[in-house]
Amino acid sequence: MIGIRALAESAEPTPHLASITRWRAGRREQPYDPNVDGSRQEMRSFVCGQCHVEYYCGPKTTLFFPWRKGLRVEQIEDDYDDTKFPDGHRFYDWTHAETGAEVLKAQHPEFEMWSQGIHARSGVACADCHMPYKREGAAKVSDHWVRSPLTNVARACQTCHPYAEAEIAARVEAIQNRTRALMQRSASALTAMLDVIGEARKAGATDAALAPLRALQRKAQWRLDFVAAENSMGFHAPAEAARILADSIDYSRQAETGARLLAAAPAPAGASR
Amino acid sequence: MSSLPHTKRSFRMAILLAPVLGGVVGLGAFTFHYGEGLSYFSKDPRACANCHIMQSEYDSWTKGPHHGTARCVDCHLPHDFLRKYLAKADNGYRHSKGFTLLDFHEPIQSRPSRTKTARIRSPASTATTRRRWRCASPDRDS
Repeated sequence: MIGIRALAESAEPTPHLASITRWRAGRREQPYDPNVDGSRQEMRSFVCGQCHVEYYCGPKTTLFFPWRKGLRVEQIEDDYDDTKFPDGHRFYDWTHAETGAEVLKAQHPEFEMWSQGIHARSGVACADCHMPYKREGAAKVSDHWVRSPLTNVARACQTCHPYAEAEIAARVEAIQNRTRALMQRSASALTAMLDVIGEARKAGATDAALAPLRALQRKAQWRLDFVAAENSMGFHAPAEAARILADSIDYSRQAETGARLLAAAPAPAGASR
Repeated sequence: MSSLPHTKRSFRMAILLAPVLGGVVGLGAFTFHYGEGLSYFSKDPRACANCHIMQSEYDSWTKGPHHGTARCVDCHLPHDFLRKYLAKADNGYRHSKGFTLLDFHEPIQSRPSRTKTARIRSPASTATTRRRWRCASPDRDS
């Protein structure tokens, strides 16, 4: 509720959540309330989004949802970067032991990733695929097992996609294999970066010299983690997952190059050894 | 003196009313006990499955990963205290009435949320009942 209300009050377009668009166009006498304003179809996703989202629930500040700028990975990152702990320190989840960078940890941003995908844009809710209906006598029962749609392609996918089960499974597999391969590339780039930043730090690079590299590490690691922690192996939004991983690889390699240049350059006068 | 007959009349009224009141209270208490009324104040999913038509949902939920983290009420009722118990009271009234008079639609159907308290209603619905939802999404129902 806190998260979705903040999202509603932002200017970020949410074409897949029509009730937010309607609320924004209205008189806004009451704050946006998903229980009142949300459509039934939206509720079938909101109910999952009560837990399957990105949030911070740690010891250093009270629970919050970083949706004040939007649901995309950069917008969440911006929100985190703008957030300060009560002691005034910029928000971070943990400190990397080798590089000293203060980095972020993704939770399980399924709602956010789904929001960037074609299924969300087409009005398909979580429950449509994860809790498909079946008929028992005269009654419709929705599956409360709540598991991967691949275990039930006939009811989860074929109600909309008129293709053979093997064909549908192969499409999903192709998307997930591509995401997996990109994640591996991304992780290789990340570990290469961590090694050189760690070496530069050991060699006595100052915090000031390391700051831009740590900033790049924070970005790279956040993006890889966002896709890795999200539980669909890219399927909820294939192009978005690939875009995020491509950015992650680029940030990792930028930082790696920067760290190598730092190691090659003579240490500035007065640098601590 | 008129006070004596008056007391007598009150006494007679009390004698007459006692079994009536006692009957109502007793039958009410028995029904509450027999209907496992107290169980609906808990969040134990078995209470929801008291009614056999929830058996399929209950069975698949016990098999699924959510049974370790989320119970029925976590998804089907509002989380804040007041709205949760309002929704419980509303549902409790309708369940009692429905199962006493047996006047509900077969097969059972979800109804539009009148109180707007529920975060998600029973997902069982057909194309016709979906139209009756006050908050039905226009892009799904066209």
